[in-house]
Amino acid sequence: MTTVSDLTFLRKFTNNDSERIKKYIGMFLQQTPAMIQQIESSYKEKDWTKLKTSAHSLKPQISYMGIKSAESIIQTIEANSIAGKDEGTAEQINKLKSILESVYPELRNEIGI
Amino acid sequence: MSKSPVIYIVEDDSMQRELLADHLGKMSGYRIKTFETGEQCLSYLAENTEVPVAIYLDYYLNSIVQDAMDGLDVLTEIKKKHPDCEVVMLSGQDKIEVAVDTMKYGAFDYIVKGESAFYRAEKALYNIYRFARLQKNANLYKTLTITFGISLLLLVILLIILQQAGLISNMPGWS
Repeated sequence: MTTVSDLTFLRKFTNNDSERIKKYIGMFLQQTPAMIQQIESSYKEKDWTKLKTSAHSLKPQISYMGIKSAESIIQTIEANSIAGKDEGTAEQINKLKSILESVYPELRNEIGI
Repeated sequence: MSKSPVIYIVEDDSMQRELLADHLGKMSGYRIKTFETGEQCLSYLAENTEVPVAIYLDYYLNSIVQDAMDGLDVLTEIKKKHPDCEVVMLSGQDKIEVAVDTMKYGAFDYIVKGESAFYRAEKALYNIYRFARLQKNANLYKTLTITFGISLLLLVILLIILQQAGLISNMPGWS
């Protein structure tokens, strides 16, 4: 079965320490839904500065969980927010949201919750 | 037993903060103190006499507290009060102009967040340690050179005084 996330980095970083892997996945699962919400609300308000900050904060977390399919999307959202570009941003946010929603069960399964 | 040196991490993203603290703590054996905002770090620095060997400082610090000071302002304040304290800037931005900007404000290094950031943070700490050692050696050589120069000068003055007093001759043999 192909997975959306790739935990190679996290396993290497923690020396395969399951407790630490669990801790970081737990943090990701706890933080990202609120971050996505912030991205959505900033976009609705057309608050480009806030959108840039939110996208910028989420970018490394996506990389640590190895969610390759979301990397270019979050970069586009950040670039659009810097340019104040509305066109296509909503689609990118929806795509990002749907990718992350498919990652959550995968990660929950990984840490057994 | 003396305490190990301390490293500060100022980062508003808890996961990033935890990962970096985890890595640097394990790698260096140093104590790690973390802060969510620059304001917290600055007030802790003001209340404590111990200066950290390095501060890892996020460029953007306003994702949680919207009106929090940004990284460059915090960097400026740190360098104003503790010019010898080395600051390593962290950012998700892979832009040369941002990196150059932080260096102008006195940052020791600039690290782009991502998988390789932890290795680079480790390398920066090693460079800070090496730089501090070189600076210590340079100061020692400077002190030695000045001491030697003053001693030589005093000796010459003493010889002149002795010669003028007729206690030594300026002829070979000095008898």
